[in-house]
Amino acid sequence: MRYRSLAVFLLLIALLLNLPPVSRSPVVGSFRSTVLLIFYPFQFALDGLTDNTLGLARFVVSAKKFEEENRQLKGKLDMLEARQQALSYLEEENGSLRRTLVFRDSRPYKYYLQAAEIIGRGGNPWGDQMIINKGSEAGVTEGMTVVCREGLVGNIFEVSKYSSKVLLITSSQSRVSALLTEAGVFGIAQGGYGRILKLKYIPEDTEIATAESVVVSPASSTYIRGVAIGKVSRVDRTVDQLFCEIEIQPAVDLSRLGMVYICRP
Amino acid sequence: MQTLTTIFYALIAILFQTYLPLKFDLLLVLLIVLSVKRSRSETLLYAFLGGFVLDALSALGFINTLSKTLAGILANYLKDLFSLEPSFMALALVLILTPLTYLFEISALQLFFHQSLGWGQHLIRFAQLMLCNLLLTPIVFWLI
Repeated sequence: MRYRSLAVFLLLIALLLNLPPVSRSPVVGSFRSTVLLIFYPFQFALDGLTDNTLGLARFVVSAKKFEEENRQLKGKLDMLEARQQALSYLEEENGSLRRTLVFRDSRPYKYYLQAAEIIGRGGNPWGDQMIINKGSEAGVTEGMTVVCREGLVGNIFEVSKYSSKVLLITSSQSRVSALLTEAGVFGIAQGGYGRILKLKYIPEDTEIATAESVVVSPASSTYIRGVAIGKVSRVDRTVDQLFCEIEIQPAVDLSRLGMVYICRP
Repeated sequence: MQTLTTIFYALIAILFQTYLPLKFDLLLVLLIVLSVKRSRSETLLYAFLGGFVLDALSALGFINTLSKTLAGILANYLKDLFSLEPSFMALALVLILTPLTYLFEISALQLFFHQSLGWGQHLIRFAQLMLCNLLLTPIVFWLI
């Protein structure tokens, strides 16, 4: 009897939590922020542990590779070649860091770009969000646009003291006011279709070039205008007689992101 | 001590589930093993609290809270229906509850958040989830 009461009680709470007025209430919001704050050190530690483990594995693999090369060639030349390889890796890394710095300092969207590292990917397998290591203490507020070198990533939808949650453009909850650059037509880029986006409300008779660029429209109040969203990958004119439906390949590969930038005024 | 160990494993499960973009449901496996080895009320509490924390760390409502609580109730009910050795019971419950939880979660996502994926993608995700959960069950069973 006691178990039944507990089951009914917990089930009712779970159901209530899913009602929009309850799930969006400030009390539940502060609960979420507290949990995020508690989990931040663990996520940070796990991130560091993963990086170190991968680094160690890479080091072991490289060391073994160099050892095999040394055995095969047995000479000074091998040593030089190994050094050359190490140098080219450093050069590549240097170039990558330089490009990142140039991107950050060039202020392409006339905003100050604050770098942030991804420390979590969220609790569901749908890849809707990510957690970054900058929070209210670093001046981050809700609604800020998040970009990377290739284009739009998403926007901040929840902030705690040391971390924030980013809603990705591929999320089913994401809607971006978008502009087809060549056709000059506005539409809504909508997520919720896996790794692609769908551009909706484009008139059926619009001429659309293959791989045409899609950017955030000047009408957007949520995102920064002009940021690249992606390119047209497919046009479907059979949806209805008024509008066609366009598939967009996002400019950013969201599964391979390591560092993102928060646009701050 | 036993409670502290279980809380520790639950935290590890949630942490891994939120951090790694992998296709397993460690929390579901954990609560199924708990339903076989511990009391019904304890299972239910872990299911609800685990789901709640998981939802607090994610973007989409409180679907995990609901699905894990339901899974806890179902696991408690189903384990009394059959008489199997505990380890086999855990595997059987994972076999039954993984598809049910997955179906419930995608239906809820479709209903509340209009999340739509193709059948092909669902099948691949489900196959990975089922395989990972089945492989994890003996490990979790041994740990708890």
